[in-house]
Amino acid sequence: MAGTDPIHQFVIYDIFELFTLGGDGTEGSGTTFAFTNSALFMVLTVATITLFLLLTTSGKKLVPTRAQLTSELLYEFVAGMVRSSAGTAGMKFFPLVFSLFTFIFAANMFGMVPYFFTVTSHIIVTFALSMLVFLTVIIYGFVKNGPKFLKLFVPAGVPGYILPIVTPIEVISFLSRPISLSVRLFGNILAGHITLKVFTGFAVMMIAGLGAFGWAAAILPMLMAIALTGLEFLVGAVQAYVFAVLTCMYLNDAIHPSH
Amino acid sequence: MARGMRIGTEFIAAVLVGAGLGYLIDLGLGTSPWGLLILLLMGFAAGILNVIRVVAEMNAASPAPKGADLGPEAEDEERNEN
Repeated sequence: MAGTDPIHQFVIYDIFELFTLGGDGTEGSGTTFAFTNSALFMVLTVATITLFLLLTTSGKKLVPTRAQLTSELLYEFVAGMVRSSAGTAGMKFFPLVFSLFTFIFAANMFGMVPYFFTVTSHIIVTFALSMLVFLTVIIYGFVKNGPKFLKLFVPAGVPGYILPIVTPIEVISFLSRPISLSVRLFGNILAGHITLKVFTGFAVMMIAGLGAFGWAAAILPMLMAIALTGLEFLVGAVQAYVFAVLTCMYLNDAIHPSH
Repeated sequence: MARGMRIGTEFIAAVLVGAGLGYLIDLGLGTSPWGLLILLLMGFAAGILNVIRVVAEMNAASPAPKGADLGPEAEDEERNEN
């Protein structure tokens, strides 16, 4: 049945082609870069956040209006998160964490609108975000601490003869961070959206297959879908928060590398 | 669900990274299958380490309520609370 394919919502298609790299000019050679629906929703997400922040903070009143207050609450929320996890020294990474949090949050909320594409349901997007965090941690860690950054892999108070075993484990544990960070966000969003689609698909199938009785029975999966919609809003917000908190904690390792 | 997902991904990611690293080492040095075997087990260890850290952090975030019965104090165990 055409309408009930739960995976169809993740299909990426080209809206228009941008340019082609390499190839010999013939059709189908080289790598073509195109503006896809995924890119469209990333642009929409960023534009929405930028417009929201610009409009709500344009008044700059001492006693804030309701709109200004939401922006200020957003700032305070992320700033509190950075300060508590990474200390005041971590505040220089506030723009990074704030951008990541608002981007993922807005993208997840965009994804909850019917017929909209969910950017974070593709692992390459979440992996790119987590690699950004990971590389920031490594580069900043080495720039700020030099070779002392490697102390991260040598836990304090471990006797010398265990170190050859513990250090590789710590290294693997460190390298697994971008994977777990990206898989968690991607998995939650993907699974949630598929579940939602499967349950609403049940309703469509029942109505198509059972007629009048199907209309009555379809209430059950629709109730489930309503509950799941609420849950998905929660999951989208929580996952954005978790991503931001873990970013802060990893940045904390770069700022203070000793355990 | 968010918690379970967190613990699960932390564990699986470490195992995958360990296996991937081992496979790459085997490819590079031609030591198949030892790199994969050893690093896979190291990955399991790293996964357990990740899980322990996550759970310790979750426990620290939600301490037991005051007056809750936590059982007898451990006398012969060295505890390092951090």
